[in-house]
Amino acid sequence: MERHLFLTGQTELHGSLVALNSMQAKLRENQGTGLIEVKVGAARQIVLAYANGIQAGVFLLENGQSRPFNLAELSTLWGGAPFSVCSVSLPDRAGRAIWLILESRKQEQLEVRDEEAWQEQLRVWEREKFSGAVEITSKTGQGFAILQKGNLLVEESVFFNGQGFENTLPPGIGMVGIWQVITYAAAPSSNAWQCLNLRKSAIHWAGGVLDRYESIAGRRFLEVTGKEIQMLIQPWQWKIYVSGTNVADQHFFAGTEATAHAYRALFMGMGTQMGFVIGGSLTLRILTEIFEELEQAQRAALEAHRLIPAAFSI
Amino acid sequence: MSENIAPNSTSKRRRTIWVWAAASAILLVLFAWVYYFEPIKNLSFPNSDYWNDKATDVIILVPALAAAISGALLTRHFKPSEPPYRIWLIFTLGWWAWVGGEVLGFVYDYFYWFADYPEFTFIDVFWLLGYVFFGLSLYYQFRLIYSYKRGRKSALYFSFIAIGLLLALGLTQLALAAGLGEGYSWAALYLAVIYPVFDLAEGAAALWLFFLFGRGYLGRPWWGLIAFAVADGINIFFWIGGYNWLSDQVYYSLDLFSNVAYVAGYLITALAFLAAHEHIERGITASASSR
Repeated sequence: MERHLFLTGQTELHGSLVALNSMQAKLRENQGTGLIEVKVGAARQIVLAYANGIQAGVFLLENGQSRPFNLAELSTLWGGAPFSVCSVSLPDRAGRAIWLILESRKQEQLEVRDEEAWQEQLRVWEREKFSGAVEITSKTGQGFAILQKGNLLVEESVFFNGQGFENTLPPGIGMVGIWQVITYAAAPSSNAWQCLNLRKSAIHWAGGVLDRYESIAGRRFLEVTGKEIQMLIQPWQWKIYVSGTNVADQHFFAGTEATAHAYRALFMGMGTQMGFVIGGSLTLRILTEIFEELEQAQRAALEAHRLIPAAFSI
Repeated sequence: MSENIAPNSTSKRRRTIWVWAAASAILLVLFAWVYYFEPIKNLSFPNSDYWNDKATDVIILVPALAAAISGALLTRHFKPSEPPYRIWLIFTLGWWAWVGGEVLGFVYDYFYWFADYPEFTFIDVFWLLGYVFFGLSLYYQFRLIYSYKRGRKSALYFSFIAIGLLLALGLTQLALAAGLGEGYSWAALYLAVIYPVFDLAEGAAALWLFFLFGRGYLGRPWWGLIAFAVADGINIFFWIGGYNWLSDQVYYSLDLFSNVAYVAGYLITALAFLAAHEHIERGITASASSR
């Protein structure tokens, strides 16, 4: 993984376990999202990913590949010499994208020199129905994009422009210099990819339900219902937003259980509030109708966490 | 400051509904008293029976107007491009048509108090128009729920009306064969049969929606039609000779119940419309003041 992001962070060139622990404690206390990078020798890095104060994973990066790593083994690997340790705070979206990359398998590396080449590359991924993450890096910027079956997931993309983060890849990527592109194949059984799948499935379901609800209850009732759902989930301080028929999830959950817990609360709120307006039986009907329209894989992801229609109607 | 506004405003709105509910209950009791005990008729002045009847008519007109006005209030929350708009617009038009029928009742009573009404009046036009509007709004509501994506044509609704009219035709023939409606023309008898047929059909459809929507705000306005169906069901029972099997006391009690159910139909609808309207207003006020 390229290192632009870490340039904004706090680095201790002569780090120690004390410095590492202190950085971890700081992220935990602040309920922060970010990465801690420990450079062990010239070729190895250990990356700790934090999601809103909770450790999402520890990874050893070696020869461009990452694998889960047990932090207890650090002292064995380290050998006692000072090491460089760096901590960087990230927005949840960036943390999530990097977590996906860390839990993926590096596939190929290529160079994009012009816009046409970039567009062609997108078409190749679409043809191949590529599922995975893509890291693009220029001299000054670094971006992450997630693709599912060849489709670029716009709401998952994030770009670091050297000063701050943007929620989209820059337009005309190939027009501004040369970009290094690294693709990472998805590891569907990994925690990060399961979280993504669960998140996408739940958002798809929730969006469909709200859309159908709007068709029956109208825009004004939808607005009121959406605001009440938002108020119901507010105490948890999740970065999940209901606006019209859209549900946007900007939160970095450290695992599928935490993700499922949040969506359970969201659907509970939806079921209750919709029930006040159109009744429990019709709410259940809508939840079921839209659930059955989901793809088999999406249904399975939701069912695995008991996110099913019968659980959310009053 | 704003934090203080939201709960006050919300509870004020909730209180409004309870005030309206209490007023409705009082109105219902008042109607039952004037209708059953006829206090004005018992006063000894000319045409006191007429004025007692007008008093009950005024009491009926108030909730009828309330239903129509509150329906319009709720309809205003929808944009014409939204599917629920036409449901609530047409449903509200139905209530306005019945308000028209109630008002015309005053006019006809004034001119025909000492004579029989013509067999077919403008009041009937407004009642029938109301049924058509109610039926159409019910049809759109069912279509929105059950065949939203299939997009059936409104022609289907008119085929339902045709079936209703044919059913009424068959029942008219049966009534004639049973010796009912003596002294009435065939057309008058047919019209007399159409009302309960439409009432019961729409009442049954409203009952279906009652089970589907439960206590949801958007299901409650339909409850009014159930009350009308109950009221008319009792009238049909009387009409087919049911009163012969009842004691006077039971007959008068049932008659009172039927008439109270009729007024309650308007009141339930008005309150349901208001509750839905207030829910939207409350939600908007609360979110505006929490910003």
